[in-house]
Amino acid sequence: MKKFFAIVLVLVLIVAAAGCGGNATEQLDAPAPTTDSTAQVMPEGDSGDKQLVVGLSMSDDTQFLSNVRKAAEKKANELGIQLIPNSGQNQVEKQINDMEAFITMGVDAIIFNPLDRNAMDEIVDKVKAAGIPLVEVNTFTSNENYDVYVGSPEEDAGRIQGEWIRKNLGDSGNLVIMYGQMGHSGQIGRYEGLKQALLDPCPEWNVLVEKTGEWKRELGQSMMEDWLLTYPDQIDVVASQNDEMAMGALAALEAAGKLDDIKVLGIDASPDAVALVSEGQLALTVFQDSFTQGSTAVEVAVGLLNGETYPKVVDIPFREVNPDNAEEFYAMLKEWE
Amino acid sequence: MISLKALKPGRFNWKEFLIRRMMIILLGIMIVFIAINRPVFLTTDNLLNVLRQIAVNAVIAYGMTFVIITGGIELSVGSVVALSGCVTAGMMKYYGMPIPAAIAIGLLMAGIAGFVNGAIIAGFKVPPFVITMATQTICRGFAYVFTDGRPIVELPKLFLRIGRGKVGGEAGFLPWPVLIMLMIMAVMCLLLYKTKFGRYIFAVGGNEDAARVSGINTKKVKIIAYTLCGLLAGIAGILLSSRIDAGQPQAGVAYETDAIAATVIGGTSLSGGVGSMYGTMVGAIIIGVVNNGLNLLAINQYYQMIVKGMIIAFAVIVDTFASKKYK
Repeated sequence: MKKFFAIVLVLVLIVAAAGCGGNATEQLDAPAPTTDSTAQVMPEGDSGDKQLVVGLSMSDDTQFLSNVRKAAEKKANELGIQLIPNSGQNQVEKQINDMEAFITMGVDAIIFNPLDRNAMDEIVDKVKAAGIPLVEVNTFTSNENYDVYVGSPEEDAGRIQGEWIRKNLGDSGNLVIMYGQMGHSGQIGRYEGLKQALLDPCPEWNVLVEKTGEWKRELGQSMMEDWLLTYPDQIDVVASQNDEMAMGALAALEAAGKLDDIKVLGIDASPDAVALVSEGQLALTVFQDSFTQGSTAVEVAVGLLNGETYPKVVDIPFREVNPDNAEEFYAMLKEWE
Repeated sequence: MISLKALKPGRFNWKEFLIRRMMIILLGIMIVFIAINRPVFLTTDNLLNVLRQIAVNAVIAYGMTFVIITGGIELSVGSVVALSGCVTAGMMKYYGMPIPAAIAIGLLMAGIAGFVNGAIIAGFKVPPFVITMATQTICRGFAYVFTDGRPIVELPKLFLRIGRGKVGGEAGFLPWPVLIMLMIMAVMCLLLYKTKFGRYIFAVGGNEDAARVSGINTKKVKIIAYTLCGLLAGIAGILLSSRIDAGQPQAGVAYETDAIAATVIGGTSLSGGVGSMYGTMVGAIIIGVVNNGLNLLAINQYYQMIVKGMIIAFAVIVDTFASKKYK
């Protein structure tokens, strides 16, 4: 009796799970105009041309990356293809598993946002061995066997920060750097740009301390609090590799009453950061066009399947967001939501 | 009131058998359902993928099984995975050690971590949950200190064969991690079912006072169990780092959850005294099949989390039902 009950329970569970998966024929007749991605691969049925299926493997679900994904989903709907998004949730192994699943499913193309520059080399080779077009977006692997990389050259973001510092604060001073996750192509590239634009030409700029905040706001805040105590009245500017950490730093500065003394720079131009630039709290942020990255990646993937050719790297330029253009940026960002 | 059956491990008692059958039935239903909807699930490539994907978790879970049978728990395994992976990688890359030596040092670190856990739990009678939660952060801290926060990458190609290669080289069929997982399971089964130590593990978990009074050195048994768990987590860490070609200090976060889940789904009771190594293997396979199946069915990833959790909850409920009836 107990066993019977248990089996019934199991069947209910599985049916419930399948119910969440959607219905094959439903999806086929009406390409879903929503961002619900419960589509099944290879929908069966007799409606003629098979719909293209593209797997999207994101590294994580941060606000920035969610924007990339949403833009990709929107473009996929416009083009009438099925997009299957998966998130590695910041775990390398999970993202590798996600990619292997895509290969097994036999998707037509894969858009890949690698969590780590070095750990994903093997999976790139596996995808290419299976003959699947591979587009990397926002971050890239050291294994260059992908077909196209759609992204913003990270060095540019660092360079824009470096140039702003030079222009507005002169050729000398004290700087602190907040890094993203170490090993991330963004962390590496943005530092390179900052170094080229500021640290190399101006040896009078002194890096007091540099540490990783892992892209996280709470770490940016706690680091800033500590640095304020360790280097009282010495810091001129905080170069943060993303907005989240920068906003954490601002929170610490506000609490310490130091908002006017220290300039904070971020990268990403998330809506709240842009609002802070308008208000004058955040000195600068750099817009990384997550939306165009996402939609272009889908365009390129579909284009490759249709036989079009692209350069190896499709550059989506970074744009500076300063108090002059902040309001206009904010309006544009709001439009996208 | 405990049943005599709980004190006589090494033979399958009712409860274990029933539960194991329950989970295998569940596994069978899932496989059938997935295979009907996605025949590609049953291809050798995919099945081997699944087995390879669960290898890391399975190895950790074997160790966890020992610990949970003694009535304890080990929350720091994920951090030990990171530590051993980083130390091994570092030894090879920065100290130029040959691969076997590097692996030995990585395992040594893992064993020490496990030993410390066991010693504190046995010696000071601290609740395992609390102390392993502390060592979880300490271990991870060590991993970050050792690597200065950066992943150690570009490891020797031969080392990568462990996580990525197949037995018999290029032309081979069985991935190394799968073979390693099976070999370790065989050894752990021997240890648990065919040795005095194995019987002591069940005894200590079933009723620690009775075990002590009947002459078993319960402290020693516990220390060995936790050290073993640490060692196995160390092996898992090496498997992982060779798979991803990196010693990452941030690896293995929350890996203890899946290890505990596999163990519990497999019929090992969190209150100790009863458990099954085969069950843990089944549990690990169930987790792997769920992950893989839900991926192939292209079920929205957030629903995947819910379904996975539901299955674990179901397994625990069944376990509690049965232990009420059979204890």
